[in-house]
Amino acid sequence: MGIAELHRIRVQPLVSGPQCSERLGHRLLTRAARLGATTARELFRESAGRQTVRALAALLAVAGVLFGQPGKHPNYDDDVKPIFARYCFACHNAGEMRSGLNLEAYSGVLKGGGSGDAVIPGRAASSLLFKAISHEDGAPQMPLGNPKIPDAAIAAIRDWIAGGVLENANSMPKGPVAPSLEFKPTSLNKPAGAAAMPESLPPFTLDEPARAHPITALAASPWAPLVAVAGHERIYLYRIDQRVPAGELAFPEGIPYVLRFSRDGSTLLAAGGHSVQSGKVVLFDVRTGKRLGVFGDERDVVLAADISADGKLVALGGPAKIVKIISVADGKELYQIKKHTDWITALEFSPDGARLATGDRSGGIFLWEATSGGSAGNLADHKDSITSLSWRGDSQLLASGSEDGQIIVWSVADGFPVATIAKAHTPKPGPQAYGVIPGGVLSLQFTSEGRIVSVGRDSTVRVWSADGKAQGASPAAGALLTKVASSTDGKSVIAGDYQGRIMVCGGASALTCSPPVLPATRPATASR
Amino acid sequence: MKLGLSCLLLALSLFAAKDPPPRVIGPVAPPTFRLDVEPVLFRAGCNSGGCHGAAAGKDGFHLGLFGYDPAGDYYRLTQQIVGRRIDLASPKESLLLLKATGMVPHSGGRRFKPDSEYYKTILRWIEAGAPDDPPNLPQVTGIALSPDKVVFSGKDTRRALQVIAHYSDGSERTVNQLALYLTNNKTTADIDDQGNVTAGKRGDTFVFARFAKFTTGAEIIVLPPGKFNWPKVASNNYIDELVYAKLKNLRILPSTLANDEEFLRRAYLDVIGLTPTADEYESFMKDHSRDKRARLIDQLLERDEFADLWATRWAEALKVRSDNNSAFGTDRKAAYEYYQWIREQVKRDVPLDQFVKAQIASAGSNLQNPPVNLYTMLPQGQYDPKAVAQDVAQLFTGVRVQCAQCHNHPFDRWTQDDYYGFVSFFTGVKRKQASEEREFYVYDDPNAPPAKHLLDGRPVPARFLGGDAPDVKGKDPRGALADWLTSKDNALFRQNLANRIWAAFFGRGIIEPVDDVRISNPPSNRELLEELGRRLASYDFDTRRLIRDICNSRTYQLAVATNPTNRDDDSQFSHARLRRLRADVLLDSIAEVTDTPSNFNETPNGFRAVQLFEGGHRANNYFLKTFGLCPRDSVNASDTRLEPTLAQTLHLLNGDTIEGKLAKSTVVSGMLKAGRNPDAILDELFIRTLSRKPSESEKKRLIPLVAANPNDRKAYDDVLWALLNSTEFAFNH
Repeated sequence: MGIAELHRIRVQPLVSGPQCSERLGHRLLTRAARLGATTARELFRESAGRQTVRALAALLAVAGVLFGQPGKHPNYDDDVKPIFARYCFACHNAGEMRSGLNLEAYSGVLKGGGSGDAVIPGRAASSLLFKAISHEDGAPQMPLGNPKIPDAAIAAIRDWIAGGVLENANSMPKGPVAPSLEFKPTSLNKPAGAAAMPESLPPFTLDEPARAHPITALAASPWAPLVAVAGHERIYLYRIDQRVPAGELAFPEGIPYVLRFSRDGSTLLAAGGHSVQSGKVVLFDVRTGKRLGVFGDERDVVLAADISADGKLVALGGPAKIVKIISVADGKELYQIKKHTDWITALEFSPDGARLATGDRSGGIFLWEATSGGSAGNLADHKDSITSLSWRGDSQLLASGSEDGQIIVWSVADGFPVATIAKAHTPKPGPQAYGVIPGGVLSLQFTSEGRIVSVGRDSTVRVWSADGKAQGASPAAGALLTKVASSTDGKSVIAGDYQGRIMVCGGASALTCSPPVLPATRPATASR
Repeated sequence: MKLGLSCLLLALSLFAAKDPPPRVIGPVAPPTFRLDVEPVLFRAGCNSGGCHGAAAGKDGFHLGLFGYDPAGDYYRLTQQIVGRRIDLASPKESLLLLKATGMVPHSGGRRFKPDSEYYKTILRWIEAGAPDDPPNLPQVTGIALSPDKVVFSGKDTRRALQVIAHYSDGSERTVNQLALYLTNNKTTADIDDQGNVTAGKRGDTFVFARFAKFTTGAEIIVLPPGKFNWPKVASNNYIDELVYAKLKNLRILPSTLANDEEFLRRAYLDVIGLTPTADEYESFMKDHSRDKRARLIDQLLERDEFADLWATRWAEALKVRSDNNSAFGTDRKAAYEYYQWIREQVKRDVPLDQFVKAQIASAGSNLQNPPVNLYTMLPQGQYDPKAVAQDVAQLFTGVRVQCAQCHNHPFDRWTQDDYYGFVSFFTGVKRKQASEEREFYVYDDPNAPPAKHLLDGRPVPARFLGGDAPDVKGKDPRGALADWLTSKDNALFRQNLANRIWAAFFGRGIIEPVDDVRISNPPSNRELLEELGRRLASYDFDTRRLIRDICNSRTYQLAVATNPTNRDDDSQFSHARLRRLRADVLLDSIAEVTDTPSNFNETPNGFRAVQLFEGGHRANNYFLKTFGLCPRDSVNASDTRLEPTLAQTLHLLNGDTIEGKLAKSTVVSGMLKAGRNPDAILDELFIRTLSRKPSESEKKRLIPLVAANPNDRKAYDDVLWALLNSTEFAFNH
């Protein structure tokens, strides 16, 4: 049964006494949507004294137009209850209440059962009810002993939870209130003078390896047409405006797994090392290529690192499962984060310098006060390794990419997802392919314009709006695309591939990409 | 458990990491991933169950157990964490090589040296860019051991075996350096990591080589030094000839023939589960005709107690048990109907193929058509086609396919394709509770989709184990399965049933355990097993007829006492084995000896333990539990426990079973009342319990005890108590 069908069979509830105020609320809400949030106060005056409406007005002031379409999400009475009646009431009815759960009444659903909350408004993927009906591993497989309920019904319940667990067509959504998705590019952290470009790099003598290393790190300067690309014991610099190599920096510490420009574009952070031997973080002056400092003395490669917006802090993490925050000035370790239970695979300071986001190989993401290390939240919805974390320029939204195939855009204020993009990079299965095909998201970045660019195991560059709408995609590349970065003007996307090459993509919904090139200045040598 | 142990042994014995001599182990460059790199990971133990082959991997790195998932392994090595495990720019710095050679900390230590061929193979592959294989790559189609049989006699104690792999393009390759080895008996023959066999103590065993998804074995016979003459030994039938042929090869002499008393007791306990009465003893001993043993066997086979015993054996295997849960069809009534049906089949001598077929292909009401209960009793709850398929395979072919659910069977030929193909016979089975609550319907939905392959989710259509895929479109596939399974041509079926019957009379199968048939657990006498299977099929699966052959063989009638040549023999049937009586048979025998019928819950007085349809679960009998009555919660043959425990001895000594029965017994008082003399009373007590008269020395010591007070039953009770507590009573010999 599709959603459309569900809507067709929906029965309008009778309007009766207790529902009147909600009906009114609904009308007000639609009007609010039309008129915009500024009229909320007028509306409030119009119906002063009604508690429901007061709460509503308060909500509207924040929510703006976002919740102006109450018919959009399924609700309990019309859409969800018929599904429950068909598949769940046999056990979870008011009389039997198997496992303490009564799905026959809206209040029973909210109350949950013996295993705790059945639904968490706004968060379908974290709700036990959704896990159970979608037969997620480790969750009770409902309906017990029977086949899965139809996909359309599962989707309806997912949308219902995501839409705020509406009781009926006139209800207000529960759960978090999304922040504005409006974003204007900011000039925060913009350097006073000209953006840094390489001017006088030290001489570079290392031979090119016979076979290029897959691109393990890639970064674009936030203010200059410059990208840094990881190579074997080196960093390639490349001008994207002229599409020419712009020099190389030696990285004898090993393979760079992280490349990051400072927020003002003057410093390049490179981190990596030799697997199971050593890990370091190195800061380079972009103009001169001089080493500004070397941090960390790890026993395995550094897989995640960043430099804070003010340039005072370096954070690093890796297989040791510990995040270390180091003062750039004196190289002293300021504090450690030991909350993660698996390898640290991604981290990033917020552009305003207030927060640090860290992610691990099990899918855990935590937020911290950047200067003190105080806990600032836990973003738990991913089920596999976090491969990438990126803040939007206003520090309001954080995007996370994971091997579980999801891109999630988080509202940092309350820790709830604004958008969840499932199967963001699942390759098209071949004619004889069955089962789970790796579809992980390998890398993503918020662009300066507030969009998201990503690459993943479908070898495709994709562009998304902050609320999760697909806005563009490239043709599938010949090799696995491992890393992505967005140019300073937000117009080009740079992607690195498994064979050590980069390509520059641009355009509207159908991205076109340049042929992949090696970013090296010299040809490869035959010697090994 | 057993598997885990053998995995451990394997890991311990094979990887003392001796380096192979420098020798090309693969085709000239570049090496392929599946044919060259994967075998190195296999040989080095990387993908063993205790290491990265574990379901969850190890330290974040997972490989398919023993290489069953090469595509996944390729992905995990090259792309799961881009750049980490393989270094294309600097191949020698690849973590894979650094870890395997112990150059960086590795929980698994050093698996091979940098100068080994293993290292070079992987290095050359990475240098070539760690390419994936072309789709038309040849596959390993089988392996062979050469020679496949070695007899050590005299001074030679070492022999090199060659492992030859055959490929789908017709090529061959010696893979001694890439195979894994194991032996079934280290003391008789050990095998090193190059395939060299070293002879040990005399005996007969198998060594195995494993490569790709194949396992193959070679028989190793180690003969004692010195001369050996095979004397003329009488042979009763084909069984004796086949047993002797093997014994002759092994230079083992069979024991002497058991005497009449020993044979009498053995046959009674084995065939009908009771000790002979005093009258039965007297009449057999008085009979002097030459064919009296054969006639006794015929008589016993016709008795109802034979049906009781075999019905119970089947009911144990088929998990006939009730938790009174009508929602799952395991109502008491269902269990009772099922048991009665089974007993009726045995009693009426219904051929085993029909007996099995009726259950496998059954449909309808479980009360109207009791064999339907195969689909209620095996699951004992929710229906899972995988669990039922596993149980059916184990019950009727002895093959344990369950390993292949998650990975290809490591010690056998079964692959995941075999497994899911077999499961697909049962995916259409649907069950439904009837309006009469205790009744349950089982039917097939011919449109149900087949089982999905675990690895890639591909549907695997129904396919016989090691056989073809029948056309079951729109039909109940279980019909085709039942036909294939019970066909006379199906060696798996006929040999497994023959082996199960054999084991009931020898306390050990020719393949032991009877329900663990695999390449690495070969029969101790292949020719014998094959012939028994053929005979069973040619007798139209008549159980009694095969039992008649077995019991009439001299092999069955051999004495327990050994000679110097067969003292160590435990698998070639050169002497009778001491076997503790089953819990129910022991209790029934105590009841019979003391003439005090047992009293179980919910059954009339005089019911024997063997007749309890749920095996005494509802009887809640401490004695039966302590002596290891089958709990019927799995199809494992070893669930009927026969090993002695302290609790058993203590219960016989101090518990209320023997004391209670002695207190109620009128056996001694009856004989006293009848005025029998002490001599005669002692004789009868011995005959009742041990089926023999007391020896002169026993009598000499017992007479004074009872003669002091000739009319006091207490002294006789003490004698009877001592006899019931003797191991001679608790064992069949």
